Amino acid sequence: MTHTTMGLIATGILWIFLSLAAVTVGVDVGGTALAWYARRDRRAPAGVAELIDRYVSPIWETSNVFIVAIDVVLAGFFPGAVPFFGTTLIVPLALALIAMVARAIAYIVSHYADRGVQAARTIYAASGVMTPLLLVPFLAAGDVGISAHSSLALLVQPLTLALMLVALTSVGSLGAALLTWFAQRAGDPGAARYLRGWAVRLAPCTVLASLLLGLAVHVTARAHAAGIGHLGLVLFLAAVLFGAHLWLLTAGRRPGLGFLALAGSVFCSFAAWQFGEWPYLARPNVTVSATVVNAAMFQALLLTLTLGLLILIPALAALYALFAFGRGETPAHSAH
Amino acid sequence: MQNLTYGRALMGSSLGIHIILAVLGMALPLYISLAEGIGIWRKNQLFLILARRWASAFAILFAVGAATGVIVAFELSLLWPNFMAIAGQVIALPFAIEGFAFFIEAIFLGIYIFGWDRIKNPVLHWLASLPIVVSAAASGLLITIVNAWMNSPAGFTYQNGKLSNVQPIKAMLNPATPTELLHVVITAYLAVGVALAGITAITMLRGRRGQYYRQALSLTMLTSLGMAVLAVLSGDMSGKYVAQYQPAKLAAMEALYHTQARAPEDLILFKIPGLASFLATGNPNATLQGLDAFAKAEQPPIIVHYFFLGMVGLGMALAALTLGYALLFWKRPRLTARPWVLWPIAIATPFGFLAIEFGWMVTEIGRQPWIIYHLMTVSQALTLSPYVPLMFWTFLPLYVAIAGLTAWALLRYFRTHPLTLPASAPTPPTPSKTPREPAISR
Repeated sequence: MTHTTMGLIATGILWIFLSLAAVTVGVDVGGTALAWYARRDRRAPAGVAELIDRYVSPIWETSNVFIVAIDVVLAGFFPGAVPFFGTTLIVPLALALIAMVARAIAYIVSHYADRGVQAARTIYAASGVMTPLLLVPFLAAGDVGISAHSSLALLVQPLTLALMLVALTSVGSLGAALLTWFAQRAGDPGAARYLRGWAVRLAPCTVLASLLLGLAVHVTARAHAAGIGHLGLVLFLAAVLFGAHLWLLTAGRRPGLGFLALAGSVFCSFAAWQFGEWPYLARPNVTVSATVVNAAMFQALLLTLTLGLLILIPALAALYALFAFGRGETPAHSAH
Repeated sequence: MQNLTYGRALMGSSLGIHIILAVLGMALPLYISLAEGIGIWRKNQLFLILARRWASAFAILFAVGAATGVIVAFELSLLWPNFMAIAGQVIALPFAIEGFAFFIEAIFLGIYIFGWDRIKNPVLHWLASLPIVVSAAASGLLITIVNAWMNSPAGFTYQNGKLSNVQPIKAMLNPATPTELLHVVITAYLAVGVALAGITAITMLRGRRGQYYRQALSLTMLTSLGMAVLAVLSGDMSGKYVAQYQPAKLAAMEALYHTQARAPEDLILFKIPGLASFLATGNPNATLQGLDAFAKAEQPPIIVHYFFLGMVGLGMALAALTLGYALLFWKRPRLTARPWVLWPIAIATPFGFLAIEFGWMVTEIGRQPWIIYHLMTVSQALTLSPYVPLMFWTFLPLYVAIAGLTAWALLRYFRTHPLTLPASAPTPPTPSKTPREPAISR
């Protein structure tokens, strides 16, 4: 296998894990933020926050796993790129780690302790929303030419800020869209209506933020913009899927399909972003073919991923089939 | 230089706290599974209640351990990017497998805890604990394989700064792997068993008595005896591995300044001639290399010797304690709940964890100056980023908060969910004003 072929497959794997992490983390932190707000919103129907907690809190550990998986995939498939990303991203990632740990502690206190539950819920929601904002600098690292000594500056680049804005609106959209579906399945039309309202309101915000991001890429990262331009079809597909999501949402039909369309739109956007950088992982020095792992390790990792997913997917399906739509309780609750 | 010190201090404190949670995560499922299994087998409700309470604690600790694990995983790339650039080429496989092991553990933990009242067949519920026991131990062991590879790198050729001929499986099965895995998993079971026994003893000393506590004590202490014996044996094997593959580390462990035959074991107050030679090779007259056999820059610091003594001393103390308890349990079972028996067990609560921390100090400081033995030094692996000291001072209070709040949440949880035993049990129920833990309904 040539370095280019391995690099292409490895980039594809990185893309899948990035997209999976984005959707999972998005649903998790978006849902958590909505639950936090609903507790303070007088117009929110009773029980909507509890419903969100019930379905979203089991996802928490999964989003942690996917965030670590990106680190493992990057270090495993592109070990040569770790020095660049490790030094460039040290400040945002250190802050993201703090947010993730604060979230873990807040989770435990809000679920198991009998005091400080309100404060813990607020920290849980706030640190949750902070996490994707502090992770998106990874996507900008290859475009803004930041050196190791100004990792802090990466946080305030126009491109990074535009990405943060997209992340902010997207996590809200993802959380609201999935929970609309869950609320409907749980037979709670009041909650479904409330959450659908949020999804409808957040959709135009996401469109605006995405256009702003497009502008930021066009102005500050011309090479990357050109690369994405070559993938116009993928970007178009992302727009179509988002449109389908919005149409199903406003029509109030098939919320499950609507969520899947939105998730598909996320996957397409990440594909355009990731492959638009090809043949680089990060401009101007980190190329895919120079940083990709050796052939022996590549094959071993590929085999591990395949076997692992063959075990994992049925296990996850079993878990959901057994419990998620069962009597409406989460593991965390039954541990009490 | 300053960045190197801060980088090591940050990694050390991150691992120091993660080790405790990782060890609990690896070993607690075994005790939960044992208690539930015995409870079902003997039709003993008290063991089932015990398993359920330990499982609640495990759910909390698992969540915190996952978070500190995320820190450690990212710090490897952030602080030591040049190490990861090499490690990714040769030893990335266990990291990837560990991801799946962790995921499977999380899934079955969900099934197990969620299924307490829903899986009607008790044996089926107990079976769900087995994947947790296996994947919990596997998670820790897979990461230990990476450490073993750092101690005795294998499975590749390195020439003129170029890696070639990478063999991922051979890298995983490097010379340090068998002894290190064995010692890590056994001592994890020992440390957690003794800690559970210690907490039980403390509870009994505070006035709680009865069959429930005596059962918890005997289960954990007797299992720990088996683990203590195995820990001594695997520790001996580890020593012999170090003697063969990392002589500089052995010299520091034994405080041997000069190469000599019939090397003595330095026990600070006195020395036992020939014991170090005997432990390292099986022959009391064998010649051991001293620190003077190595270049100044390649000598590990002598503090390793004191960590080594601390580890061995605590391990021996636990072996003696569990053996003494087992003898008493066998000959005079009625005496096992006396305060003079409970006090030493209570005091020994943290001994296993301390010994494990000391052991990691021995293996990590003892490998200095190398991060990958004879291939890359720690300073070569360090990031060029100037933010390392800032990161250290930011993370330090975070660790204090993690430790404090986790302990607090555990205490609050068990205070608001006091033990309630079934009416048929010989123990009078303790008075409680707060909501009760639901009794097991089968």
